[in-house]
Amino acid sequence: MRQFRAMNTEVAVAAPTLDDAAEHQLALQIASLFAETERRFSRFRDDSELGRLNRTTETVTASRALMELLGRARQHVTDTDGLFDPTIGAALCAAGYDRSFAAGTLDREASTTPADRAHFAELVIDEQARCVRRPPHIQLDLGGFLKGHTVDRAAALAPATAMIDAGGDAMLRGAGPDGAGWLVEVEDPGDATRVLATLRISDRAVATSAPNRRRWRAGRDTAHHLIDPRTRLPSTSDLAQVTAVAPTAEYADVLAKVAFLLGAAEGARFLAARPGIGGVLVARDGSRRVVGDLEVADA
Amino acid sequence: MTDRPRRATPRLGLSALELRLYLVAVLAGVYVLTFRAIGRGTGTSPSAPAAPSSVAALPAAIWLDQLPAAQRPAVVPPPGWRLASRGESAAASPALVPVVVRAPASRPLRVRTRSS
Repeated sequence: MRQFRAMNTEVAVAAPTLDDAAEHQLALQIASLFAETERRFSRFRDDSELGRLNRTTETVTASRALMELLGRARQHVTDTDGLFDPTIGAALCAAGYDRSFAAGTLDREASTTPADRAHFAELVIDEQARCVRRPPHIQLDLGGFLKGHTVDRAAALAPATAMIDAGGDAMLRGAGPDGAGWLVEVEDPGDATRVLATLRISDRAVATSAPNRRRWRAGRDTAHHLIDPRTRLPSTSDLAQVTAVAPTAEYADVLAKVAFLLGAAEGARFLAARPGIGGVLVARDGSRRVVGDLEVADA
Repeated sequence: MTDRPRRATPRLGLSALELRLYLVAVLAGVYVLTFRAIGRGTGTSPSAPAAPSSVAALPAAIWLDQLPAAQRPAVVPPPGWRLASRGESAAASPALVPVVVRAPASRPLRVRTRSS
């Protein structure tokens, strides 16, 4: 197994059927893909394509890669009735998440105030001309969606049995080293040293959303990165964490986030209603619920 | 006995204070003129030492690959950094590839899913 840092997280690559040198070569390819994607689409880099789009209200010509990302984002926005919406960038900044996250660096005296209402449909996207125009109050943040998308692209480079794990958002190709499925431990959001459940997953992806790590002090409150587009404020969900299992890491990330915003009851219904999707929902009171299509190895 | 008429002493009509001020002004003028003459002389002096030709020929900065291989110093960038090529700027360069390392042997071949 090889690892490297990208997108402000640890990325691990394992391909048990490859020899050592070939696995290293694969990891280098994937590291390059992550670095390039981050350089182009991080909202924290002034020289990124997304950074330039977020700075101008002029119509800009977008790359094919950005157009593809916006097209996929639009499908998720529609599929989730707007609960997934990458136009929450301004709300994230208003909440204090205006630079790459590191523990303690976002702490501030001001409390969080909601940004102006924003919706993905306000972006003017001309797919034929590959042009995008952004209204002044909208800032794009591709965040976890971009990480999941990159995991999926990385997995496409890997052999039939491989694991690409970007800080817990992972694509698991094949049935793992023993053929019985890759083992996925669901971390306890209240105690990172504990595992709540272990899943067996084959040829699917997993992603987890929780406010326990990317959080900071905002006045007398605690803010976090899971913005509810309905309020443009950090979510006050009754959930502590949601893990979603889906065919792709991008989709798993979207589902985990949306189920978290919906809360325990609605979130469970949302995941269970989707064929081939599984989820582990952990409430703030510590209770947990497994929904959908999941094999739990132990709990 | 005849009295010779005494020659009248020429009088400048200056008081002692005026005389001192006059002398100070003259001396200051001489000082300034001398100082400027010395300054010009230094700047144009043909005897000013020239920089050694070997040093003057060296550019202020040089790319490593312009040096003969035998003279290149060993430069070891910190992990995650690399030496740039000539003409390469940070904005235009391809993204730097992160350092890939072998995962610790203690790390199990499984995923710990969490918010990150």
